[in-house]
Amino acid sequence: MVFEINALTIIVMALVGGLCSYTANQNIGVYHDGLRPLYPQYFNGSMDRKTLFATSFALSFGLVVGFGLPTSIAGKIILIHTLLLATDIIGVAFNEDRKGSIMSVAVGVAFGILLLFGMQAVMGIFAYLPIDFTGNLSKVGDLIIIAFCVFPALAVAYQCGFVKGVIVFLITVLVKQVTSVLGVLTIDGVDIALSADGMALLVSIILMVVFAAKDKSQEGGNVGSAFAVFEKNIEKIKKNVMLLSLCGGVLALATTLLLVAEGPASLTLMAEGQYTEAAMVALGRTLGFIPLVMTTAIISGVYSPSGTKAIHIPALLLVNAGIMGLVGSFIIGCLIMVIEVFLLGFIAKGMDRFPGMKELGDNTRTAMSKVFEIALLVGGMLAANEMAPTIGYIWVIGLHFLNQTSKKPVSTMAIGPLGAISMGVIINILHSIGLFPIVG
Amino acid sequence: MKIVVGGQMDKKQIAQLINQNADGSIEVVVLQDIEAALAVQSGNADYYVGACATGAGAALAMALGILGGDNCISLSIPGSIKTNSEIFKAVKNKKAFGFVNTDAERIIPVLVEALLEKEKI
Repeated sequence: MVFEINALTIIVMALVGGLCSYTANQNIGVYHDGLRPLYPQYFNGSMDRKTLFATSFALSFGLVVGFGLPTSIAGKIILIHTLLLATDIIGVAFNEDRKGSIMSVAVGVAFGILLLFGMQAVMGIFAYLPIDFTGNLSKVGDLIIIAFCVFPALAVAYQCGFVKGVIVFLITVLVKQVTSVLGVLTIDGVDIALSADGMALLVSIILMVVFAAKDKSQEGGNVGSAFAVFEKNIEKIKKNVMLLSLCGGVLALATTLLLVAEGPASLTLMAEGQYTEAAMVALGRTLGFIPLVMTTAIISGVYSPSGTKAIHIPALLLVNAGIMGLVGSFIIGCLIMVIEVFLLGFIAKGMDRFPGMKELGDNTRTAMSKVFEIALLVGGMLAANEMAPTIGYIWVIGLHFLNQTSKKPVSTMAIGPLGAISMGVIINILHSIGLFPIVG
Repeated sequence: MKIVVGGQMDKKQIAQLINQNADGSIEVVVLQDIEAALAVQSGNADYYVGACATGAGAALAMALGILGGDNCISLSIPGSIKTNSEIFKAVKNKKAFGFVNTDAERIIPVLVEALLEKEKI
């Protein structure tokens, strides 16, 4: 794994597990955006705790096992979904009374620590196999870094049409090429190379925001007045600002320690030590999630332990800043959560004024998931092919198409990581029965 | 019959899919999720359709908040997809339907058929 297991990381994982489980248990914050809108029914009594738990489990378990774990194993950093979707389930599993809250914290702490050692153990087992494929697994994420800077162009195309999308796309490609050729600055005799992917992403994200802010095609309408009825929910979230702020701080710290990654793209970048680029990716994801997290929070009175995901941006920029970086990351994480919570009211009232920005959030997330799907699928194919040039490609292609016809399909994004890991296990089985000789 | 596509991913493709399957017998409008839910609430539209990566989050969030959970159902979530007969049953008393965006091509033809059959009676 990329992270180390020491006293600090164990404590941080325990804190994350315990705090986030408690936050979910007390109905203060849940990570799954789809769970939040169910809370009004729970609060008014038309849904009981058991149903809430069953729904939380149904929504999240498949993602933890099918997407979170394989992506974490393939990338060697814990994908935050693995952790926070599980603490959602743990928190909701127990009643919110005193006994239940203590139980949820205990289980949450245990889960956090177990995940840390469990990931290490899985890697250890894989390394023991006759054919060690853990090195090949990183191939799964290879394309994400390159593919990711396409998403702003795609989001613009969704929102403002094909032509504007193509314009942003061409500028993105141009920026990348120009930066890679000319992007070496010499300051005081030291060469500083600008990251071509980072620059392309930054420029395209800025263009995307400019296009969205100018987009007047969306009607703001009477959203603001419709949201006025949810004033009480915002007050409720504000009351819990201390706890949410702690969650944000600890999660930021966990990011700076390279324990968790906010998404599959920044995970790959973090594993390769490209923290500035990872922060850029986190910025793009935050823009996409601001409207979703905030609107679901406003209608439900329940926030998210990681907020709009903005906490990860400074956390990533502080990775190499030593002990001060860790302290700073924690403090900034706490502050960001406080700011977010106090902005909720403003967002609720301001939704009318920037309808283009709300639409941008939706388009950003659609565009990013399209890019992830292709990048992870092709990455999985490349990784599987590297392990087994005879059957690697057909294995992942086959899994992809058969999954689409399954009654219980896993998320398309998970096919790449799952395909690569299963290929690794299969070649070891084949090897043990003499059907997969090790060449050279 | 008027359907609004609100929930947050692949909205244009979903609207297109509904049009293809409905042969012009359904009016489809793409809106932002909040307005879409408000349109159903005020009676300006009959049904709400939405998709996202989980079929329950962004897909139905605003519909759940504004129309209430009794009117909403997830037709698919990752790892589980409703059968045709379950979809036919769901349209009887629900107004808002969410599903995983990648399941759209499997869900929408059945959903449209079910809605058309219901509205005929």
